[in-house]
Amino acid sequence: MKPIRTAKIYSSFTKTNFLLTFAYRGQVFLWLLGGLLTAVMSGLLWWAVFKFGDGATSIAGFTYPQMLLYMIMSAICGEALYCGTADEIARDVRNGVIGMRLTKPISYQGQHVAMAIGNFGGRMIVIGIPMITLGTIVAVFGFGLTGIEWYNVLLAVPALFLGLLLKNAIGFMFGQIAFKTQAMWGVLSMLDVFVSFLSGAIVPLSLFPSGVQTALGYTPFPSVISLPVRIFMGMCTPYEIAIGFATSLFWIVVLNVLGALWYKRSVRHVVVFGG
Amino acid sequence: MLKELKLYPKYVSMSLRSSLSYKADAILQILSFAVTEAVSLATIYLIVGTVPSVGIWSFEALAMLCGFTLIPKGIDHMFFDDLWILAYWAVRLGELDPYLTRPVNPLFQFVAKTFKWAGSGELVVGIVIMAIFAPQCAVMWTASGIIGIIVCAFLGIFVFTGIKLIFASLAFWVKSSGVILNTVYNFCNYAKYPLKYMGKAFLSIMLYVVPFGLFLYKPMECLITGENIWWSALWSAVAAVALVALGLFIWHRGLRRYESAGN
Repeated sequence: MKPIRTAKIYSSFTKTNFLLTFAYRGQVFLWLLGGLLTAVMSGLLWWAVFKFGDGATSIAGFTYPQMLLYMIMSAICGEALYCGTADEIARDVRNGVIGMRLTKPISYQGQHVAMAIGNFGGRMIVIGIPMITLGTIVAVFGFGLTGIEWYNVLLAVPALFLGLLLKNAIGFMFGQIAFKTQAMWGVLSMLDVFVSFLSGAIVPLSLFPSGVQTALGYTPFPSVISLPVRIFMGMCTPYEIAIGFATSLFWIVVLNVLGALWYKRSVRHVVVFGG
Repeated sequence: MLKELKLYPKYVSMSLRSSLSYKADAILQILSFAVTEAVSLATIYLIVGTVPSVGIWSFEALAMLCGFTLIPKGIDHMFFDDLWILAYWAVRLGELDPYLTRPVNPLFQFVAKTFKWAGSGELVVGIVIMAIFAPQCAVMWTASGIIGIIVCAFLGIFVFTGIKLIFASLAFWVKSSGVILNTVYNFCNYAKYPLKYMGKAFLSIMLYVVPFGLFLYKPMECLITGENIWWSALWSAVAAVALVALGLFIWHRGLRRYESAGN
């Protein structure tokens, strides 16, 4: 009975965040618009590179239609996987709300996982699924992209979900810095830039020097954006998908354990007056 | 105006003392700007590095353009950063009351109260990038070109401020215009791309609708192609005057709608 009761408690956080996305759908739409603009600009930039560069038809294993869909997909996935965990921890610490959170008989870390899942579900319905469908139609019928298969689309869903859990675990870990400094704006900006760049949200990782690609393969970052997008586009072999899923699961466990240990140390520094 | 000029150093001094009392925090903010721009440059390298050049734009020329865009952006950041607070929270939470009760221009008080020296991170990174890549570009450096670039950067500060003021002041109508401002402001990041080759429609938007291309991209293109840079400077001046005037107009109209109770 206990696991059911626990799931019920955390599902209320999921439900609240899911519904919040619908309540603020105008704001979510504007953020998506920003993401899409970035994708369009990247698409235009790549168009310039393909057309006015050295005339190559393929760059780093991507034809232009593939590059276009990659940029659209990574922009939409980046928005759908938005995870405000670190930001919320910073706000809780700054406002002193963390004190109240500590009095509740539930895990602070689990609460953030539940909220991130609700947020993800809402964002996928409001913006993710419609925009991914639209982007795929544009790339397939407008630019003649081939290779999109239904089983890859289905496999991309759990890959995206694992990406979300990873992003949440990274956010929870770095959110602990809020217990040490008030300058979380700078920390969060750097974190966001690093995660976006190293996860392949800004450019495909195949553009990186081969040594860097190999090193990144041992980190959790490619599993956040690059893996789900490449699975969706049919650019991964079954072996790569299996390794990708195993790597994601490994890092989810490691980062959550590290986050829990760090949190245990951090709460000793809590000052509940706010600041 | 004279009163404001006399008061300004006091505001700056107060803001500096306040921010320097949290040295580590300030350093983290500067570092975050520097890291963001370094990643931006690395992205351009990864994209453009796949081909020898995109038309007239080599990687070195685009890096120089990237550095140049940071200079007016960083200066605007230092002096007018609190317009973001106006857009996101100040109107919604009814936080403008103190500025309306003092015998000094409320807009001046609102922007002068914070001197964001973290913006110097962008400024320094921009100057360093330009210093590294400018000598590597195939540009004929003339006195006219150098002065033209400085004038465009100077005018660019006011274009940035004008655009921020216009969209931040929309908060008086929509209560929180931060996301709208953020979307428009982010167009400045596209001015570091080779706009000439990204389609006429997009180039026109960047020159005439959200004119970041006018004072950031166009002067650099003029330097590379040898075109007259002063046309860019002239149109940048027109854009700066028009946008700041429009921003002030919207701010004044919006202030009449302000409610202390917030929303």
